Amino acid sequence: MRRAARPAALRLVLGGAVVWSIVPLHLPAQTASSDRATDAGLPASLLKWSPLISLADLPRELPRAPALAGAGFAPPPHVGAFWDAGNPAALVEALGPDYTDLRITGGHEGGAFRRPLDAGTVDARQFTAMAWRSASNRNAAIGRALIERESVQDASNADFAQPFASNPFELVDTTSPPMTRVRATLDGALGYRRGTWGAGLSVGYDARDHHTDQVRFPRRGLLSTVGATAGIARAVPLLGNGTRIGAHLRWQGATETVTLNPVPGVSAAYALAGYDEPDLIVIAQPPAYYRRAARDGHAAGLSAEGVGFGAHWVVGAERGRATEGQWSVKRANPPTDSWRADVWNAFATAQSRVDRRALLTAGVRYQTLRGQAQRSDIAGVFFRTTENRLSFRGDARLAARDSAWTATFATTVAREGRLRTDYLVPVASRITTWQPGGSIEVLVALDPSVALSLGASAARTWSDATLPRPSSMGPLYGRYIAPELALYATPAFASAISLGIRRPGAGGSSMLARITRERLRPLGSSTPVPGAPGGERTLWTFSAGWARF
Amino acid sequence: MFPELPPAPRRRLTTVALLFLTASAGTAPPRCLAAQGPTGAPGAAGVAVSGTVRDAATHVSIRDALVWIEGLDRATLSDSTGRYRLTGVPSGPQVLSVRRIGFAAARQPVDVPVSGTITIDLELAANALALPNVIVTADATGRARGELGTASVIERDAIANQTATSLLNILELIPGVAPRPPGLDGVQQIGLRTVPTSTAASQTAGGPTAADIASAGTLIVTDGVPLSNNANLQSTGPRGELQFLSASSAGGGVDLRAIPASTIERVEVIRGIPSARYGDVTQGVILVDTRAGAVAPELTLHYDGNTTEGSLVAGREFRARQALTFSVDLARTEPSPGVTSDQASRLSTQLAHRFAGVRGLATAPDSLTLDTRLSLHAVTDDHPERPDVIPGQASWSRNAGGRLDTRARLTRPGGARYDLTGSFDLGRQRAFVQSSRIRGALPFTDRLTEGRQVGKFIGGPYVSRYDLDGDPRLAYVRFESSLDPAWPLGTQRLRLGGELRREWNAGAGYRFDVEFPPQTTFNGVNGFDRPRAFSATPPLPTSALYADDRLSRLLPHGVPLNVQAGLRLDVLHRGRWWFSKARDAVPQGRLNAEVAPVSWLRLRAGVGQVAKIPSLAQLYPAPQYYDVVNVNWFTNDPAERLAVLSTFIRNATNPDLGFSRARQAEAGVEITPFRDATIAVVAFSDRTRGAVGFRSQPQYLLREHFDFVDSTRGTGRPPTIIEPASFSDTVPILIDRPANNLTLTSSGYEVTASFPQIPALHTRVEVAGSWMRTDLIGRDIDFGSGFSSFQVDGRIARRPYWAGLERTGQRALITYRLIHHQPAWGLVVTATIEQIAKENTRDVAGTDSLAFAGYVTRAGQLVPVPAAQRGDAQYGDLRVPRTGLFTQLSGVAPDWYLSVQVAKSFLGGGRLSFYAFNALDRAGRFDVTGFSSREWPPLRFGGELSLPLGRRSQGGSRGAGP
Repeated sequence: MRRAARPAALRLVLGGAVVWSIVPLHLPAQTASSDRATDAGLPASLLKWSPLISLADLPRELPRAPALAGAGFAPPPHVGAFWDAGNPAALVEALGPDYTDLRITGGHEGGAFRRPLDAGTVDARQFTAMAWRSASNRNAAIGRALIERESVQDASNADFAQPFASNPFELVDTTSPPMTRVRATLDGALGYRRGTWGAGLSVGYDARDHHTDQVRFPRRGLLSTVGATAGIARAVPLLGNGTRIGAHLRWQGATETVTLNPVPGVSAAYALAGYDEPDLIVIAQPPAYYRRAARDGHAAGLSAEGVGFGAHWVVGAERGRATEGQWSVKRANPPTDSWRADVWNAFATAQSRVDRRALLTAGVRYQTLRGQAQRSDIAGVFFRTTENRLSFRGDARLAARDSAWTATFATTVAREGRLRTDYLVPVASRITTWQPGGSIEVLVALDPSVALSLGASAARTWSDATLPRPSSMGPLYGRYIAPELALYATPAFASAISLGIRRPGAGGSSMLARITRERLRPLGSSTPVPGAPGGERTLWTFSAGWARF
Repeated sequence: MFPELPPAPRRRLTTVALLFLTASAGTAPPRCLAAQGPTGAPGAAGVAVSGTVRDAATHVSIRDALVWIEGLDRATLSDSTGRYRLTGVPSGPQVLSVRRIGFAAARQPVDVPVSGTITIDLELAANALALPNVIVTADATGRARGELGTASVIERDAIANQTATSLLNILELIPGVAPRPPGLDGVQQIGLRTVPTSTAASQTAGGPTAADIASAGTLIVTDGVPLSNNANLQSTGPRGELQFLSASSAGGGVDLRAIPASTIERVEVIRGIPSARYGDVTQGVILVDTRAGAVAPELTLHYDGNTTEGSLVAGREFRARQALTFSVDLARTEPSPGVTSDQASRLSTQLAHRFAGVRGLATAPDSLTLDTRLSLHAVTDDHPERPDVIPGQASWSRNAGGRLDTRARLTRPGGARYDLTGSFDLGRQRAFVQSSRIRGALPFTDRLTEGRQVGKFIGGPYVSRYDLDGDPRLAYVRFESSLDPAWPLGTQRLRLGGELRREWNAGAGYRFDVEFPPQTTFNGVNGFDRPRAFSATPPLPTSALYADDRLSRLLPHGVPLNVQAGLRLDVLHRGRWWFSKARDAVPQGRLNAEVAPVSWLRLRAGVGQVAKIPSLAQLYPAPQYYDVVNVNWFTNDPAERLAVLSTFIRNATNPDLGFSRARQAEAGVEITPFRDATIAVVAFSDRTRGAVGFRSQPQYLLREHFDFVDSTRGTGRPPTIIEPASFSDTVPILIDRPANNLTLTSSGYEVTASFPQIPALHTRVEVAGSWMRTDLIGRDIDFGSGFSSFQVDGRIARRPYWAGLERTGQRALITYRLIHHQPAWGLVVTATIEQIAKENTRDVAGTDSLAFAGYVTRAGQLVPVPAAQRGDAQYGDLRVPRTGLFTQLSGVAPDWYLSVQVAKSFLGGGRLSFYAFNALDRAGRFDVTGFSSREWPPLRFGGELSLPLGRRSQGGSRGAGP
């Protein structure tokens, strides 16, 4: 009887967990951005294959401490054309033992150190499931699902879901209401191998629904994103055993619709376009104000991977282009604000296992973006941006002989440069940011049935910035843009600590739980950049689940 | 005649449970259960189908699995080695179904040869997603039980894959039914084989649309008992300004929100000619079997940004011969979360009990079964006031109902079966509407009887509030016997039956403060509404007799032939009970035939008559009030004002109102060009004559005019009228009387194509398309939109009227489904593209100034004018354009949208699924001006989790499950 009860109990627990993660209860919960895979406890290195990751875009993010590696809580870093270049043709070779991970995550983010278009306080719950299987030595599949619900207090003024993209168009209104944000993400890949050839296809879908909670000026946004990657790969014996080259094509399309419902006397919005002062949009009469964005991106990439000098290495490059149009009129061929960006992306990663007790992984990635924007009401390009990002991550996992201890060390260095020029004002901003950081995480098996992990990470940012003088700009620039630029120019310190517990079960499965606290604060006793926010920002994350790997 | 089965006490339990599982009330279960045992001898005719039932995961044989041929009474149980054998199976394409407690049901299309034996091994799995041949769409070539007309069968697997909130979402799998996102927003009604038509404003005020007529004519039968909306009076009558109560399903079909998808086991949609068993129908029949029997407990949770739903279904067998099933479903939808506080919610629960008195199973099948169900539901709609946006406007409705039904079935040796079914439906419908209104200063009377009285002047802003409190009732009894007559032509199944139904409404009715009515306009003739008690409405008794015979035989060269012929007589009675005289009677003959000249080709055709009972609202409309102003003396001093009004009440009842009659015809072909591929094409033509609309009948009222004295201003007193009246004149009026004056025609083609799976991609394609044209033809005359001014302006001597109007609509709807299925991973991905290839509407009528057909005088007399004389000078005042019609062809460019469903097995028998309706959030098509656009419903996405809460019984180790 006891044996029979376990599956039912497990189902109940998991079912209850899923319910808890999605039903509209007002419990403190989760994270600001589910774009960060680490928020759900899964290493980001496991998700770079997704066809949904940003294509031809370098979104501006708040500084964060390096993601903790999650030793013992997730598979170790994977290296390969699938994991690093996203080429699904390399999936069959990329997978290790079958893997299943079901996890719920809750978190809370808040604090004053934020940009005007960041939400104030966010409580979220998330359910994620991820698995991969090798059906045979010739085909394999991987899939992931995510459902998330966020309750936002003091929401962002931004009306689009992702206000920090490279393009200069953003719709904002004058309110910061409580909101509910629901998101669902599905992605998966199939890989086939026939002889020396491989082929694969990955498909992803992401949907988001944002709406205000019982406010006078209701707002609703819907975002739908579809991505697909198709690739081929071929073993090339001339270059050494296991060497494969591959090529892939990526496509991503998205539509986003924001609807602002008119209420007499309280409704106003602005369609920001660069650093110029936008006109006031008064939304007082039906029909509702509507702004729609259609995004389209595609990229082509090459990659090569192999084994040499005792390491598994992979190199690759990708060229992409993204376009976006935004309009506010429901009719054919409406006047459209448009954006176009061209991106190069190159990377190199290597991984080496030393004496079966150490796993060393290092990777460097460089991305550069050039974009230009046009407004529907004037001819010619009015805004250009040149942005680049260079990042390095080194990861070492060490297991002492005959010891219950495992340690993971990681170091990261990132450099970002952003030059954004508005030819209408005319004015430009130039910000170069450096962010070195490191992390350490130890896992100790207290006994065969329980293991504990403790981790900490930290990063420091400093910048070299040339910003427009706020006093020479308009009031809306001072309200929505200047504080954000000032924050990037402000030296800051980000840190994170985590505590986890793992309880191994039968068949390689484990019950997992981890709590993480992240903190971001400006450095220095006074605000060094005029207009920059003060205070600090904290993020608590709790995740629990079941995994088998 | 019947072979002997091995004695097995446990087998009896299994039989009870499996009977319960498959034999939902009112639908024909497989008969001759024992006769088709694994050791059974071949039947006298037909083919033997045999094989082994195994667990798909372990390949262990499964005993006590129920195997049957869909649409036929051929069934058997697998033996201890999993073997089964069915005999007497007619040749041609058939569907083999297998079911076992603890496993998902499975279906297997089979091409049965002309003679001999074929072996078909069947697999069962705890989760249907793990079966290689799981069907997640409607089987357009499936067979409704006991029916030969064109039907679509939707099994539990497809229902579970549909992420549906109510029955309507399931029916989207039927060709021609446009999808809508799951949820409870808005009344949900279904009208089979019809498309929307143009709705000219001047013609539809108070009158039914084509959708209303079609949904009212679509019969829905749950667990063998028809649902009815005939006693639904939740409407304020034909006055157009009161028709905005969005939560009312009055005038159309039942509100499908009350039927949760989570508790449905199987749906059969008879799109073609139904057998004579079904009455009160003009469009088609939807048969719903709820989940009942020894069902493994299952919890289902659904969530998206708008809708939250939870349901639980569990069934248990006890005391060997009884089983009890409980289901509950709780759902809530916010149509515009964050924007409004509107919400709809539903609570639905059912308790089902079966007593199966099986005796002598091993030697002679002879059983008495008693099915009893208690069903309760409540659907609420709340539209609270939004003071910032529209102050004062609010509405809600609370529709609750309960049904107690029971069926006794006696199965006699030889296959004869006798059913007695009875049910009682009790509804409680409450609706409230409030709105802010402003009216000018008007003379007013609150008189409730005919006569003249001094009224008063009212005016200014006010908040109108009214309640609609209806308590509809339905009592229903059916007796049916099914026999196998030994007639010479071939194997036959004869059904003889009769029905009695009585519907009435006991509600408090339409209630409001007479001084603050919902209407604000008054032209001095057409009076304001008055309260009305629904309980004063007489009941609606009807009765029916039917006979239906189904013949199966082999023609020369082994060509199988199936014919189903039936005759039905529906009677509408005048009095309160069935013993009174007939008010109307409709004999209806129905005939379906099917022949399969070769194994890959099946031809079908059918023709028949069907009829729909008029509703209580149509039979007994509210009396119409006219308040004619005799004196209207309005001064600045309220004390000096005088209003005298005469109230007239006209009975709008039409004693000649009767059934709507429809003639249906269809012909179809099904082709199986190669294995696992099917293409079916059906052409149909339905014509409903005498659908109920409103006939505006002109009459006149005598208006008295008075002289008066003491009319000096400043006296502080009203003047005094001098009796008798100084003179009288006539005021023309129109009495809106229900009449069988509409004709609804629908014709078109339905195409379904199912292609075999591409093995390398684990993917297959299904296409369902339909092209339909619907015409709603009004045979009566209409008086346009200016009749109100004609009533009050005595200088206008006459006014034109026009001949009838035809409203048309046509639509080509194509659904492409791409189904990717990975049984090894328990994964099904369904991508559905919905394409409207063509859609347009148009009013067909003359609109020029010579289009009038005649004129009406102030005495209400109709004077036709021949067409040749309409240009004469004497008719110059009648030559005015006919307004309010949309005679231009109104069409929108073709467009499409994509929806996605992903289902994955989860913890064995569980299921985790995701859906995105209009996944790409396509907006629709707009023209350059922004008008004449098509806007798709916006993106809606969510997830669903099904969790089995009980153990799965293993094949051969335990009888009938939990």
